[in-house]
Amino acid sequence: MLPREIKKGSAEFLILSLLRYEARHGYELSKLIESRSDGVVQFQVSSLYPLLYRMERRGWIRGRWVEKAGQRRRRYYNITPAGRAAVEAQRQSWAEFVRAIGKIAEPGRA
Amino acid sequence: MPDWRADVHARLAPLGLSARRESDITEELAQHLEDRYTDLRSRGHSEDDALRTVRDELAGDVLANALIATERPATGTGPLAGPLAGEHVSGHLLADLWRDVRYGIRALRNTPGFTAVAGITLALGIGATTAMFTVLNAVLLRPLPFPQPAHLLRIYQTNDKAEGGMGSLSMADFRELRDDPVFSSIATYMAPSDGFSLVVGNRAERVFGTAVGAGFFTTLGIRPLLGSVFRPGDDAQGAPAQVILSYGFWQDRLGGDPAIVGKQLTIQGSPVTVTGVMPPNVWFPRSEVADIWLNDMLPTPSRQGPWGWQGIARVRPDVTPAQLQGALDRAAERVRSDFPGGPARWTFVTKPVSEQLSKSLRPALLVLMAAVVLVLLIACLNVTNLMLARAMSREHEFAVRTALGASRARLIRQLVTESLLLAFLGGAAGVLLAVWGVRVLVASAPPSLALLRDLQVGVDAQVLLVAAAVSMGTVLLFGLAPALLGVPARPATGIGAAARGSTDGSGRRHVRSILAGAEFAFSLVLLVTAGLLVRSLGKLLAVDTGLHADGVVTASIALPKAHYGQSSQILGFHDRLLAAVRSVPGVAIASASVGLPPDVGYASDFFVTGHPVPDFEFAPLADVIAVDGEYFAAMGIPLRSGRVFDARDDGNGPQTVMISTELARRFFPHSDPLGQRLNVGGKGPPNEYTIVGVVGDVPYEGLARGATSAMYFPFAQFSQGQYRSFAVVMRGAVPPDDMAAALRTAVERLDPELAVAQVRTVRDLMDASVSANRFRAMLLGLFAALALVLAAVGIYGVMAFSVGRRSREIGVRIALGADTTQVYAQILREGLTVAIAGIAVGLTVAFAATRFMSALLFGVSATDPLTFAAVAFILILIAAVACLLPARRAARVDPAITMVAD
Repeated sequence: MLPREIKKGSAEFLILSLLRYEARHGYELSKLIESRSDGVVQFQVSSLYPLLYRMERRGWIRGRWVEKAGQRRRRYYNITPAGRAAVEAQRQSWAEFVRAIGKIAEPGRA
Repeated sequence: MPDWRADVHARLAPLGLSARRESDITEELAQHLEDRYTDLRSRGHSEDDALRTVRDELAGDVLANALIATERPATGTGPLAGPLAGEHVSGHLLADLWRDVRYGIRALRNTPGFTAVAGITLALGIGATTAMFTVLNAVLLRPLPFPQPAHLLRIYQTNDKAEGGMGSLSMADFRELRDDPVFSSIATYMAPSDGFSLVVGNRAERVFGTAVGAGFFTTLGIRPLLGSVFRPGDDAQGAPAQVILSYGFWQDRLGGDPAIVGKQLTIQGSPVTVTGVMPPNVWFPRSEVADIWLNDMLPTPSRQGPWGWQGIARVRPDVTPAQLQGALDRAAERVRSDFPGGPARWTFVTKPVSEQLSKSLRPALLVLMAAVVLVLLIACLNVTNLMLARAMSREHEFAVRTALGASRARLIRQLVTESLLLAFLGGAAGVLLAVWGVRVLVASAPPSLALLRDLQVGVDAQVLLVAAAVSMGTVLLFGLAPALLGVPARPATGIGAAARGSTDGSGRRHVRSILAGAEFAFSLVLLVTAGLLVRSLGKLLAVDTGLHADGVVTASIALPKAHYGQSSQILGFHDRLLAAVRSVPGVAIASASVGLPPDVGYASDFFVTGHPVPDFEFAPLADVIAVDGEYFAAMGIPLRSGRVFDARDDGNGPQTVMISTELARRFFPHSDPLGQRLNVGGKGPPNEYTIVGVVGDVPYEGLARGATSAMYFPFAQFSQGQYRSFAVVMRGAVPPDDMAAALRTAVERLDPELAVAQVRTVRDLMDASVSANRFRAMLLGLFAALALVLAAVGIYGVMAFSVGRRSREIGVRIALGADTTQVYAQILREGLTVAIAGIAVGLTVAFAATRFMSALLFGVSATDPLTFAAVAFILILIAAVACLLPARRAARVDPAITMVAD
């Protein structure tokens, strides 16, 4: 599991990335994050949903109740144009950050 | 399959989300948990294991905490943004306290209305208490400004009949007391009411001082600032005349001359040497007669009387009360054997000087102190009620904080901190109020309460300590109950109630009602007390003075013995002066009198000729007034029978006397007093006066005493025409100031070295005698009014809050067809039940308590039914008005609005 600080900063980025191409519900998101990070990042119910609601309030994502035949209704989250802009900006700053870290941490340059 | 909704709901409840939002979140989270559980089960976890894992993931405050931030961002400045819950407690006491204080200040600032009302209420209560305590402390508790004041005693003569109470000493008495070894020092003093004439440069003026025995200042233990005090022998006949000046007199009239000691002043027409100057603030026996102190040359007694000297002594510290009384009894026995045939059953008694000084103030001060304590209690009850109401409207906040892990103790501590802040606020404002109040009180105190000024009553460190203690005490009274009652023991109940906004926790409503009822009880006690004093004052003012005081002016004249040694000189001056004043246009009548109501100052024993007083009995006493015949017309005292004095009653004529109706009623119940004779001077040598007239009664010993036995003597015959101090009494149609000016001009023309003093109207004199009554009735009235306002605010607050909390219920009732009358009736019934219960308790308490103030009452019983009934009625009326306002609001409730408010 990642340290708390890293997780907090990256969580929004992770979620926005996962929603870039399709709408997903909360449990699906938590499962995807866990599996794609090989279990390093885990979101539990008590931290995931407040995060989703906050992102929704910021206008990055939008939740909607969707009823499908033979299923209970579920709340699916879509990314909004603002969310796309945010994830793009974050992706760039992350790339820069990772590059910078890489340079500093590179053997022989310390 | 477990019901995850319940688990989620329990965590969301404290947040007070809207129903729709809450249900959305519950559904979404419950689904997540269900999916997770199913997932775990399908991966082979046991049922228990899966349950525990899912619950663990939901556990903690993380969810609710995080949701507060996302769901309620708007409350960022509200109370929720503070140190929310127990997990923030640092464990550092000071840091926690500081955070509590900061949070408390913010909470108080967020409710400025509440803070202002509570702060002002407390300030009034604490201020009034502190001010009264300041006075009580100075007068009753603080030692007098003399060394070892406990050993300083006043000596009186008393008889076992307790009739006439305690009397002054005669020279025969003093001669037997002065050498007794139980006293380390002893002296007499006597303050003539008409003062002394003093000539500074060529200007005559009257100063008010005291003639004292040689041991006076030694007994008090006061050292002079300049020069010396009187020495033994200075009070012997023939000793040189000396004067000791007060600091104020020395500064104001003599310019603070540093070489004043040894110089001579002209007092009473004779040269007097200045012996010393006292330091500032020496005011014994009273500030009105403490300009100067002269050495009194004490005569050698030829008989047991006359009396009139005040005795003061310092008892040796090792003398027991029994030894002291033994010595006093033996001295009385020696006086009796020196002058046989006098009354038998009398002796001397001593009282601490401090007790005698404060005697007249003590009962009023204690009643006033009790009154302010009641005001303070009412103020505390009011603030308690306010705090309770506030705590109840904050139960949602407390519920959330409890849900977030704040312990109950933590929340109570927060509330107590807020109470402390309020008490500090109220206490600080109260002390300022007290400083100002004491100043106003002392400045507005009538002359009869001059002791307040003499003792330099003021707020000092000791008083501040008491004020601080009182402020802290009020926290216990008003802070703890709301904290204990206001913080819900179980958060869920608070949240539910708050969410519905419909009920007023019935237990707390009860408490609030009881508090409001108690306010009414206390207010009633105060109002009854004030009412009784006001009624007493009214009765006093309604006493028939027996005279027509309007347009009557008096002033005093004192002739120096040096220039007016012969009675012909005195009477000649008297005749010329009155003739000159009568010739002034606008002055109708001018007369002279020794002794004026309401404090005549002289009395004599007497008996009706033919009815001598048996041996060893006391002769009856009557007030003595020496007047000319014009006096009765000037004062408007009616002649009932016989005649007034005229030219026949001069120094050469037969001795005559006029008497009051009361004396005639008591001593001549079945016969005509005219022509009968009185033997004046009791058992002394025969000294007979023939009664020539009977006049109406005048309250010569004060309005409260009413009619007294009085004997009027012709001015020319009184004291063989040797009385040099008298009052001029003038009646006229011109303003008092003009009459006084005419008198001054006449006096100056006759003798430029004479000064006119104590110019007053007779109405002023009469008013002054009830000024103390007026003053305390006014003070208590003020406190009672304060209590009334506080109690009205209290019941209004309870009713308004209760109605506000139940507006939904009232809306439902109106929707169901209740009309406004019924709504009014219900609210009124609830409010009045509380008020009447309080009033009933108050009546019982007042009935038991007012008897302690009977010493302050005049003409009114301590359980006067009229006062009790009137006060109860007024309080019920006020309670009705205080209930009617919220009732009106309730009746206007629109059911459509209240029922959809959620």
